[in-house]
Amino acid sequence: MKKFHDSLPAKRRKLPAWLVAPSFVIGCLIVLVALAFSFFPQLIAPYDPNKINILARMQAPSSAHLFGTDNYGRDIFSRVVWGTQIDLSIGFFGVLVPLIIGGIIGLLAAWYGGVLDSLLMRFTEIMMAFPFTILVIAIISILGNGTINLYVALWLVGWMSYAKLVRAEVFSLKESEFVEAARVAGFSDARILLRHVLPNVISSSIVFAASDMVLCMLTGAAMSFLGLGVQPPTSEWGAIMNEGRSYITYASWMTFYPGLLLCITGVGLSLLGDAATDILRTKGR
Amino acid sequence: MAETTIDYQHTQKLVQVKNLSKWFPVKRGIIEGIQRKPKQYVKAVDDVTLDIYRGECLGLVGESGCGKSTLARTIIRLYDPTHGSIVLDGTDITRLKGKALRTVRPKMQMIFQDPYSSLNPRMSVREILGELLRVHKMVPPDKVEARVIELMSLCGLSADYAGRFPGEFSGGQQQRVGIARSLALQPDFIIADEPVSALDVSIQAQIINLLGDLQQKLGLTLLFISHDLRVVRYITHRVAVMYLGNVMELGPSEEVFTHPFHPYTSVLTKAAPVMNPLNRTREYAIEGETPSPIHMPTGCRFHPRCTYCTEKCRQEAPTLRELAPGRFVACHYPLEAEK
Amino acid sequence: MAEVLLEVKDLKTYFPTRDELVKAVDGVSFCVYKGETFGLVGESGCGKSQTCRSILGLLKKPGRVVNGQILLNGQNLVGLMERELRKYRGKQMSVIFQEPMTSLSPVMKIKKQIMEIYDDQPMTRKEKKQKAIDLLRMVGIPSPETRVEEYTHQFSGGMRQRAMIAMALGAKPKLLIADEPTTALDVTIQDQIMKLINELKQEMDMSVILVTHDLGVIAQMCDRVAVMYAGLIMEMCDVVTLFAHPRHPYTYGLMRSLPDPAVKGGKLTAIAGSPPNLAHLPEGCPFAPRCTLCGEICKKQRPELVEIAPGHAVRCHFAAKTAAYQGIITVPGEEA
Repeated sequence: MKKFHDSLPAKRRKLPAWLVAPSFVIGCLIVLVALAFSFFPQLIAPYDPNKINILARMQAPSSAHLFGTDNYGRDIFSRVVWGTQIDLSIGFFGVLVPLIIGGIIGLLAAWYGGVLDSLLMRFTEIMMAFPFTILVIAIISILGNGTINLYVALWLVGWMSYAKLVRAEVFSLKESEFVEAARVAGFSDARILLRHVLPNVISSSIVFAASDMVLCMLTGAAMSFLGLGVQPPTSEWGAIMNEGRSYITYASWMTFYPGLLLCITGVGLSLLGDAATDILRTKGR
Repeated sequence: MAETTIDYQHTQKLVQVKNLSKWFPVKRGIIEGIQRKPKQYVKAVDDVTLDIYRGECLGLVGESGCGKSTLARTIIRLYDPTHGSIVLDGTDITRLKGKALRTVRPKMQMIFQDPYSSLNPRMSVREILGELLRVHKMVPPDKVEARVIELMSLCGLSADYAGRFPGEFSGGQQQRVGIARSLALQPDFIIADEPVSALDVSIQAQIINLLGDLQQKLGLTLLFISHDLRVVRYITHRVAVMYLGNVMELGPSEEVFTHPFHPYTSVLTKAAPVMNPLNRTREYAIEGETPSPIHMPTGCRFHPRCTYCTEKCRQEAPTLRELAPGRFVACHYPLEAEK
Repeated sequence: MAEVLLEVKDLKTYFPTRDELVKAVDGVSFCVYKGETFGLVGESGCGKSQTCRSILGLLKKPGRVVNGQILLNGQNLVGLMERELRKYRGKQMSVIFQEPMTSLSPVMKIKKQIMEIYDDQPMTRKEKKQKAIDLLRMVGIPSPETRVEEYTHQFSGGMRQRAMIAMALGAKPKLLIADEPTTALDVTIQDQIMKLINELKQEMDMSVILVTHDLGVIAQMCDRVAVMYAGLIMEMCDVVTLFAHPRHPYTYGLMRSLPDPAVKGGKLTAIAGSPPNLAHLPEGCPFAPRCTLCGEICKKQRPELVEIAPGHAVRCHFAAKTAAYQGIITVPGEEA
């Protein structure tokens, strides 16, 4: 029987470790820049991303065109800046909806157990047996191209992990004493699930979501690269890279820079995700 | 607590438990299901009959695996009983579900063993107590804050702690919050499941005193579960001794501990280490360990470890019967009372 | 005069973390004689477990022994390399822990775990296995020949603890450190284990350091006792004196706060307040905030551990006042 160390924890006067860790600071900076690109593209991008200027086509990076121009003379830097909001949206909304759907499924499966749990879990496991990317491609092929269909495909394919995560946590939390206390207090199931169980199981899902965002973003870019999903002339990074594919040997900047930004943003989000683990681990303790 | 006396002849029974059983099915694989092997059960609580009188503090003791926690949770309807009945203040609550059950809940509350895990780590004390008061409309909304402070001070917690989270408290203070929570709905009946076992020794006395005060002040009926016989003997009026899901003995605490009728009770009382280095004689014996509750011994559950075991004990399970006024034993050959 | 087996001199074990310095053991000195059972009693956080881990060299990072000597048969263990410590650990000194569930390996058979003790000895596997069976028999496990082939999960709590004792005693150590060996066990099993440790101690002429928070266990098993609080020894004497004439307010308060079967009902005399935070110990005596005898000097100056009678040391500024304390037992022959 574990005995309690009965003394009061000290008040921490120094900054929490995670706040000053270099990884958090770097991740923060990257994501802040990306967000700035997303919300204020008109202020940052020097040119109209869709403006065709044949005279300026295929120019290497210079002071006038930071990332160079493409085969239509469009400024790559502006295109990349304007594309940020699309990619970040794909990452964010591609994860938010599965988080909610999967979370609810996992919550209900674990709380009510029995047949419901078995049914839901078997369904989840069958869905999980399909490889992620192939399933996305398959769904887009069925539904057709376009940004909305890309989202639908990501949603249909992404919820299973969250269902499993949340279910596992709820199972262990179900038996814990404060949930028993909530039942003894005569609270309705809905109240217990929303107010007591959910806040305590969501943290691992959020941590997972942070890295899942990167995956979603990459998948979205990959789909555009393949010509599915987001269609030209929308300036999504993968689409830009696809457009530069034919010119890669002598105009590599068309593919390189959007790819670079994709990587950097992915790294920034991952770093923030790690920091999220630390924050959530120490909150409320 | 135990210095008040209960007049059992004229006191109403608040909780009546009759032939209560809680069995947990042992999961079996598909193959065994196909073979139609008989289902096995962990008979955590098996055929327990018990009455708890208004205003008394009834102790429930036993070692690990005896079913005391399961019994508590079954009485308070965290579990559904397998057989038997529970009557609380005249209402049969055995089969209640859903809204009907939730309406009855305020009458019976529980104090848990582990002070930290019994509190939601993401809710402050104010929120924990406030939620209870609001959901059950115990006081009008504008009086909630005042009542929260009142409950806290009743349990020895200063009002400045209302905004704190469980992780910011010491174990003893967390348990005080747990006690305040159990009082919020003004229950008649409180089950305290090993309320001090997880606390440091120097804090246990504070909490025991608090429980005693509250019981007197508020006229509570308490079911006090513990494996620590010293504490139980000190604060309870009556005590029930459990072993492998059965009640072996029931009676006034002082009498049961000084002159036990059941061999197991006798062993329990003698096994507790005496705080006297000059008294180191061990005058009893018990061998072996508690068997698994899936494969119960035949007849009397205690017979494999009992020094007085006879053939009858192996064959026939004794029932709990009243041997002397107020003293119940489940044994074919109870120890003679040395009165 | 009995011989000294282990001598601990001014041991200080600190845990330096990024935010704070936890002084788990802050100047502890005691000795253990050959053939005696020495009790270390205190509540959680008092430093008794860390003292034992310091002796064994099993401190978890970032804990370090920053001061003091630990002399086992004259040899100082502080500062020894892990390789050298291993010559003592398991051979001259051995340990059993509180949670037998987690102290045994779940993936190895019991036989293998016990046979490991003899790894560096020139014995055949058959001989080692026979030793394992003999050890299990010695600790009272029935049918040891079959049980030795089983895995940890097939043993019950009490049996696992017996197996741990078997492993600890396999190499016939001179010192056994038992860290809360019975706390996690039922009271009937606890009693069996205590009896077992006593018997084996006699047979093998061992010394035992028994760490516990249970005064009952202390009373039944120990010869001499040290009461610890906030990383310091507050009182140290033989066991009868401790219960008959406690001289430290903490010891006295602890005893008074436990239910006494002779006094039915009424309130228990609780010790006010909570145990201190070891990272932020107050200046002066660590028990001052909770002490009924606390005076001005107690808040400013930490008292020294002073011998007030032969074999009885107390750390208190007001030790003279505590002579009036009544213990919870009476020694026949002394006036009541």
